[in-house]
Amino acid sequence: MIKSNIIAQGKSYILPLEGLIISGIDLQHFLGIELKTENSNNPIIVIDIFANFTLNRFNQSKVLDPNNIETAKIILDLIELKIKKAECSNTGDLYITLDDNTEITIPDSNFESWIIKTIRQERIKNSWVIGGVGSTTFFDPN
Amino acid sequence: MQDYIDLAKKNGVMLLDDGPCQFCGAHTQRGVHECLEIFNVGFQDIDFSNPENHKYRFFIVDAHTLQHPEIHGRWNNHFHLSRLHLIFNYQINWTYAHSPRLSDHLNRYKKDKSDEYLTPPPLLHRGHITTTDILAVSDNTTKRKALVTQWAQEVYDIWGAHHSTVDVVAQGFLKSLY
Repeated sequence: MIKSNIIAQGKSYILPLEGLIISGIDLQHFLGIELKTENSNNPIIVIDIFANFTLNRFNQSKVLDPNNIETAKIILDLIELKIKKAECSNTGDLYITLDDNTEITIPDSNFESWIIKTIRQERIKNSWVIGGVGSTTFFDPN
Repeated sequence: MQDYIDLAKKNGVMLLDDGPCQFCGAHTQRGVHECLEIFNVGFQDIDFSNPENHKYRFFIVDAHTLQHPEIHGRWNNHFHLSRLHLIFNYQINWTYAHSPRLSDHLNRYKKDKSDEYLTPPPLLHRGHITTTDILAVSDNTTKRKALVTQWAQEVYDIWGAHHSTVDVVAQGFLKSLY
């Protein structure tokens, strides 16, 4: 089970997303970053982002609004990049590092800033990790 | 983000490590620490993959935050009470996408309201229903959903002195939506 692979490390958790590849974006809500395995065409995870977040790429840092179409265009450039590390704090922040050292940081907020969901058949999504309101909550994704 | 221990310190509150939760009165052994652990477990028997159940997540978060304002930032009270006001008073079918829009509206609102505080109800007078009551009905999801709804409604009612304030926030938010 994916939940059991979460590793607590001090006040943080290492999420078992390493090796997953950014495969697309989902604009059903705000901005969803879809992830797939190397050997699959279908996404198995989506990271829904609701709060402004930071993208560090090519030594430049940008704060991006997930509700802006320009952000979606920027994220499209990340397709095919692989996750090197995914970590969240126990206070609702999410940190993702890609294999080209691009960093995505989604901070905690007074609302639910981000939700990682597993995608089941027919695109039914189960909430797995929710960050925001000063905490990170883990659910059984199955 | 600061953790709740730092926020309590910043708010001048000493956290008690044992007994019932010092804020809401939940029947815990390890005070607010256990109360937060129960909250963070997330009451998993509710199927949050079903969008119809998302409201229970919002109720849980809002009720718990408003029962524990000393471990959150000052403007969180505005956000969570406004959200409950929009759900209960304006029957808004809340979604995750509404939350950042309310937060954006609140950011604009608070620029002119630097002196506005929502004074919380007294400690231990923030509703009879607490995390331990919600936890106790783990064998019955229907009952748990009903209790979560009651929890949120009760906490919302107890903050009644500030309903007129958050109504201004809510109306401004609704205008920004439509």
